[in-house]
Amino acid sequence: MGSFHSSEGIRSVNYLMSAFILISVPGLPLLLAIPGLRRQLPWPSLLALIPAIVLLLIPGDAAVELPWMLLGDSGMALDSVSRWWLVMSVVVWAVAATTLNSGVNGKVSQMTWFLLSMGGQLGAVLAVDAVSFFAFSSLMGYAFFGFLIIQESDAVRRAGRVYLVLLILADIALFEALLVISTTASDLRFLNITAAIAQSPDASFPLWLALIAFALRAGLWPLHVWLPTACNSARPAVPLILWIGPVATGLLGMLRWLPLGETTSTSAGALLQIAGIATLLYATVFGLWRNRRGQGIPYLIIAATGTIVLVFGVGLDKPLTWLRYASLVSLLIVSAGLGLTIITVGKVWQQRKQAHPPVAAMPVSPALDYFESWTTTCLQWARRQGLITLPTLRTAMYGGWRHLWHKPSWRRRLDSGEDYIRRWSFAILIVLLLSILLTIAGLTTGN
Amino acid sequence: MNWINSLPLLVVCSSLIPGLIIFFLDEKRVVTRVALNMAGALLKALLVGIMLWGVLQGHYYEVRLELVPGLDFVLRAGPLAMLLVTLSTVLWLVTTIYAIGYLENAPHRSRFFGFFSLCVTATVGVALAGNLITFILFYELLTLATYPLVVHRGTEKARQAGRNYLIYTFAGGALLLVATVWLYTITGNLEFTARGFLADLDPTHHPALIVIFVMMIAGVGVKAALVPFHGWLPQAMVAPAPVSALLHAVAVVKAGAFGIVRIVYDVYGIEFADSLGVALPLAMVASATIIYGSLRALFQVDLKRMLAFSTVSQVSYIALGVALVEPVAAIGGLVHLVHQGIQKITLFFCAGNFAETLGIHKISEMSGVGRRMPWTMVAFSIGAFGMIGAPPLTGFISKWYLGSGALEAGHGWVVIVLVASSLLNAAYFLPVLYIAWFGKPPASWPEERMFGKRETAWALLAPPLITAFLILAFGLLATAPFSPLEWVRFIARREFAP
Repeated sequence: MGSFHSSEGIRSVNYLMSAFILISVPGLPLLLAIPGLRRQLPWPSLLALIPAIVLLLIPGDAAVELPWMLLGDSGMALDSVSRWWLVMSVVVWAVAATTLNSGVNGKVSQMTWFLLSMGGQLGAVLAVDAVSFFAFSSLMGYAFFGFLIIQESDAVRRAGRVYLVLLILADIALFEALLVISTTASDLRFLNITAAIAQSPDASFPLWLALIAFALRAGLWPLHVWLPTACNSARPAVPLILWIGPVATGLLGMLRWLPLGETTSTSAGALLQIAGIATLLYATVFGLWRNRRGQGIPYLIIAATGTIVLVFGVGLDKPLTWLRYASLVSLLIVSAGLGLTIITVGKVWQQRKQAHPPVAAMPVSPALDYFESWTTTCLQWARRQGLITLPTLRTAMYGGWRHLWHKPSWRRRLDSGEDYIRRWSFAILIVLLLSILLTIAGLTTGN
Repeated sequence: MNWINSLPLLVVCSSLIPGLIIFFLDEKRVVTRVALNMAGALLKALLVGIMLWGVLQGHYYEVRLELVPGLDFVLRAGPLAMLLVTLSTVLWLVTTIYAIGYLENAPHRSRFFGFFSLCVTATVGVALAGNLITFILFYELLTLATYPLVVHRGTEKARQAGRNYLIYTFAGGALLLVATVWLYTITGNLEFTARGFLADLDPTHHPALIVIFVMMIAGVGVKAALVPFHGWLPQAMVAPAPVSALLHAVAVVKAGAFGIVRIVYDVYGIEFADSLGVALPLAMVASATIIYGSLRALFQVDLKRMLAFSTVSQVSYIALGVALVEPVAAIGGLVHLVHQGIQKITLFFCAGNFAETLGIHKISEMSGVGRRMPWTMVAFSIGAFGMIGAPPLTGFISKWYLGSGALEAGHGWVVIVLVASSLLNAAYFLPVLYIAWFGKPPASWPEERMFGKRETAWALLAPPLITAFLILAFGLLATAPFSPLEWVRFIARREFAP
């Protein structure tokens, strides 16, 4: 009894409780993702948020070390930054869960993908090291893909596939960034990564790789192409999960990786500012245009992304400015998330009030598609100006390119090559053995 | 007799004796056959567990019998041997359960399980071999034990596959034997020794040693499916799913890959191999195999053939890790021996489930199968993501160590190979997952069998779920004390210690 009430005992109990709650935050959604476990539970998508709510109510920071996880040095913690993100996450997931349960689709598989996304996203918020963040954000990404395309239109499924390709590229870029930074950083905790980037000029390459990875995940312009179509889903939960999942997690990754306030990185800062401004301008112009057709939400998301990336760029360029206003950045991000949530709730309430079932937004007009697809625009403009050179070569390349990528022909070619080797395998073996025997004889004679 | 020191021999006999008895059992003696299989598997697991504990404590197990004067039959249990022995034992246990369920009411079960047990006996013998002669003995026994499994179905296609298998593997064995004899004439020694036993030889022998290395690697490279010696592997997919699982994950390819590890570490020594200039070409051949295997897998329409080419690619990760003269890369290569085994066996179990339950053989027939067989598909998805290298699964751990080791060794090009391989893995696995989970199921499956309310028989469902769980556990808890990664770190410290 005495030892239980000793300071050591109290610290142990506190640690265990913190560890239990921290692990439960992503753990409970992942557990409830198993259909058999949640069958008898009411509102499992909301119940899954209970550990996160409890954690938010605990005053002060909490942390747990997980030395046996992944590559070691893993852990989870709630600090001032992750607390704001967790607040936003809980609100957005709760609203998304409500719209999901009252929506057209309440199928088992949709709930599974929803809960997997939730578990991944919440785990990424609490991760203190890059590897855990990578693991949780990858889970969130793939699960979001599953949620996005389940029982959706062809256009949304196509957008989902584009997102999947970008996600794979982002994961590979992030993996390479982690590999390279691990050669200079003492371990893969975010604190040490940012310190390594700040101190070592060799660490700019992994920084760029990581920025590319997070830009791909967050849908920064011009990598946003899938986002507006994905938001065309009939389910109001999709834009919310799209924001809190891929976009916000990508932004969180940037926040964790960038040595904001630690060093001046003019080139990276300038690029982020340019990307941010371009994204903001694009979202403003097209958002206003499309809002008339009820398609404003994706452009709000893109605008918020652009604003936040612009702020990161300023932080890299002017560390003192960042240090002065850093605490407001989290507030900015949370405000964006809550604003989006309010707009979505308003939209759902309006639909219910008017007794209209949720419908997909109006299809994109061909004229807008044409204008928006900037690469096609450039090419077609060039063609109109007569700037296409070597037409014969281009046509031949294009024809050959298509032919080359026709899978059955590749398979036939490679199969016939292997058949050839198989038919002649015995003969090849005899020739090989003879060559070796001759070599042995030659060497022996030479000796 | 000291039973404790005879543990290696007992481990070999624990599958040999039941296998020999099973040959003589009548087809109708189902219960006896199952009891013998399970008893052998459980006894082997117990003995391996005892041996593993002993090796951890620093005990030394060796059995030595003189074959002819100057040449001994040696079984020795060291850390490296225990890695493959433990993997084989655990996976043999789950494969036995799977095979019992898969071959229910099939003909020639006694013959099948007899050779099945001999196959595992040979694999364990390859792992425990203490010198090259013992290694070759069990290596060839493995060929003889697996041939009847490949041709088990008795069709013309199976016999053709078996013939090719024999040609390739006997040729490889012959090359290995010639090289071993040549090495013996030079050194008079064939014992596996930590860090090799060739470094002190006169430099005039170095050209011969290079040729011997090439011959040995070619010899074991057949079973390890190194390009261009891999041709037998996709053809051998005509065998039943338990055989495919055994070939790809437990026995044959692992014996080949293990042979490469033994030759590089315990015959030549990694530093001597590097000084001879043979390590880098081996790394390049392995890299070429990784890319080629993945490219071939991309263009397959048959599920098992796709997995076969994937094996060709993945096994070369082991050779690549071993060939990079760097401890971290060696850890990546050696731990992939375990990780690839459990990932690939999961995928083959699932492929067998699809074939046995719904008659699915082609990828195009898998549309919507996730709704009909969700748990099997969950296991398949975990295996697939493991192969791609997504965290927190085992493939990520292997690729991490391989990539880190390559960077530390100054071979940045290996990272490009790993990236390309990951992209290709994603390119051929993700469409399968997409079509399975999000495709529309057909009106009727090619050959559906019902198992009551269950998606398939318990004996078919449990093994892939167990191995999928291991993929998750060994990845998530990679740095836990008893994980394969920690065991491999122990091996690498011994190999690379100053």
